[in-house]
Amino acid sequence: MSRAVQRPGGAAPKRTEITDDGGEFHSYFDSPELRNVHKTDKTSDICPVCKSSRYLNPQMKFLVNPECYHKMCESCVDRIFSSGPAPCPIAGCRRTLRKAKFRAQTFEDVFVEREVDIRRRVAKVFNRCEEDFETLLDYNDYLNDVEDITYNLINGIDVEASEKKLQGYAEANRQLIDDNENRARKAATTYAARQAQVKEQSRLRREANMREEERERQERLEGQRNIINQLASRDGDAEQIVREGQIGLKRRHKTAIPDRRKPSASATKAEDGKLLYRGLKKKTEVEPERPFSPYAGLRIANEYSVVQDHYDAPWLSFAWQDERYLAGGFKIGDFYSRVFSEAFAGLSVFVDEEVAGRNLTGSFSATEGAVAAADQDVNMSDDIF
Amino acid sequence: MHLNEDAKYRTSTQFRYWNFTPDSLASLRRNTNRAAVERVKAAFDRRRKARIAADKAQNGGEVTVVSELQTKEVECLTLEEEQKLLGYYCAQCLKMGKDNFKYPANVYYMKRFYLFNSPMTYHPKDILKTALFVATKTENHHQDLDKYCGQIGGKKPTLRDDVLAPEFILTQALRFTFEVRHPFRAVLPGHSQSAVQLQQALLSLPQTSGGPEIIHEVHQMEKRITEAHSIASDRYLKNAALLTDAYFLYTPSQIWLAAHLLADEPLTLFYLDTKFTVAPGSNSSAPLKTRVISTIRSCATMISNGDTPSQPTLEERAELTRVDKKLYQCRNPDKIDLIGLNKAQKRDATMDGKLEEGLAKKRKIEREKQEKEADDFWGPPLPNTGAPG
Repeated sequence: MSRAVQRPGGAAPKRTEITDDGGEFHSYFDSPELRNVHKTDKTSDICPVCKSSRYLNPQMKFLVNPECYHKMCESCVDRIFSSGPAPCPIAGCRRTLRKAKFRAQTFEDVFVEREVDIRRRVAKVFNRCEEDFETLLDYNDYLNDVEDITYNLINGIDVEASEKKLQGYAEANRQLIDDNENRARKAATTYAARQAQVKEQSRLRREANMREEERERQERLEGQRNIINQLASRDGDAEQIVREGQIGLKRRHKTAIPDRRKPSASATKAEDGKLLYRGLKKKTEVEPERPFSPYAGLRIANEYSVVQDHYDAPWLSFAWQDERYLAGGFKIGDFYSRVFSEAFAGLSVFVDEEVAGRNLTGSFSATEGAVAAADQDVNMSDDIF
Repeated sequence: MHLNEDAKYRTSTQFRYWNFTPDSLASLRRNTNRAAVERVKAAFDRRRKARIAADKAQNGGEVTVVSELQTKEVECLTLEEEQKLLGYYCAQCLKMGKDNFKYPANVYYMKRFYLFNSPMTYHPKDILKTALFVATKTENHHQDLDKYCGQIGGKKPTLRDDVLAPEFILTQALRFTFEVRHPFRAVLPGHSQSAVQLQQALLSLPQTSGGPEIIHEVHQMEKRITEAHSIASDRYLKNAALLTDAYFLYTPSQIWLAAHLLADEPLTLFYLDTKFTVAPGSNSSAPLKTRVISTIRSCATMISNGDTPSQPTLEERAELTRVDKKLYQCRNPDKIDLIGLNKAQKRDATMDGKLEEGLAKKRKIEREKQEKEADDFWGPPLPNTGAPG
């Protein structure tokens, strides 16, 4: 997917305005004359407006305006457009340009430059990602649509309709587009942070390795010095002494090797882990926690009664006045609601109809007959069931 | 999702396991009786054969005397006799609950138990004490077992084992569902609410003859409501309704309204009118209301039929005695000694509370080992059940 091509400099002003005269614009771009102009301009270092050349002014910078992509030098832009919008100074081009829109040309080919601009503009609007879709097929369909629009805009096919589509989508999904943009930005920052972390880790690893190597080198030097000292001080066969010393050195070296390798091995493993993670699907955003509902949203809606705060019931008056009850957490309201729910529970449940089809022996094969057949009288756990 | 009162009732175990149609209830009892008769006969048959075999062995292969007891076919209780007996014992249970614990006992543990078991298998006298004990536990009237044994009295002193031995059998037969939805508590709001609503209705009447009279009427009305409430709950709900099959066939709200209907019909109908108010224009709940009222009426009929004096008449008593004697002859011999069966069910069944010496030692070692292992950091090893993995 080339739609997410990043501008290397990143300093160019972003284009937010949408041109609404794409059709005309394109026919202008299609003219062979302009093609020739641009092709001949490609190698030249001469500003087509003021004819000053880079040879005389090495600091000269060429700018283009995405309205018409005519190249001119910075001083010309300053001169012509400082006092507000003005028509393009190139002969035959009557477009009104603004100074703010001028920017440095990234690609030498003005057509590539334009395509990248269009792609960027479309990608800014159609910024869904794969996680938003249920299946890969859906996502591919979406990408196909987007590519159709982009292609049409670039090549001037049905430009008006495509523009309308683009704008309609942008209007309809403004919130979503903003959200996706935020998400992408966040992802970019976390990615950068992760990269920094990886870098830091590898730096630490490298330092540790270097320290380790340094230590080893020191040891080796010391060992050699020892051999020399022994040769100087001890009597006996010099070769023997050298051999002994070398064996000691080797042994030390051998023990040192795993020490040195170990951290690096585990580090590559960790790095491998990181690499593995990179390809994984990103976590979906955690939804804000809903208020806890013990019965998963099940609501109790009494049909036959509305429980009031207080009933003038003499048999209850002791309860809501007695501290012994209240201290224990007794709530008269709970009692009311329980009692009312009991009073009408099953009022319009007609047992003889609802129970009619029930298979009694099937659900509960505990009749005595079953037991008699089983003939396991003494084993009482089999008595009933 | 909304959950109204009816839906709430449908989630209860009472609705799921213990509500029946009249037909299914009758057929269930018939089946239970038939199965029990078969079992009793089979058990007697087995015993008879065993005895004949023993006689043969004793007398050198010759059957000398065939006693009458050995040839006579055992006569079992009919369904009607069973029900009579159960009715008596349920009334006894209720009376015991009221006398000893000042609350209407949960007779329905008994009734539920004998849906799937016959008095010929487990004598109601044995089950009664346990059912009452379990009921005291589940209905917030718990008594210490020793205290309970002392309290329920009887000719023979009740022992702990008498109460505990059938407890698991009972619990199993109850399908471990202990909730019985009573209408007692439900009748309270009916009272206070109908009072409130009647007051409102009366106060909204056009005042023609002056204030004091109306207030007077309100007082009278309150008196009437209180009376109806006390009749409904004391006379019907705490007696007749418990002894009939109402809990099997109707919902608690229908039962209390039926009792209320018996106590004061116009008042109850007025109250029901306020519950099924129809929005003007729609005619949706009118048939529902008539259905509810007809259900309540049939429930009321059932309760009033069961509203008999608590003491049986002389003829009834004679009949009960006859049935009880008959039951004495046809009890399932395998199930008479419940305490013994209960003990046999337990590990290392002992009859006199003492284990064999070797076994006791083995148990002690096992226990000590277990305690030691429990102190390990990861606890004792998992038992090897032979499962893969």
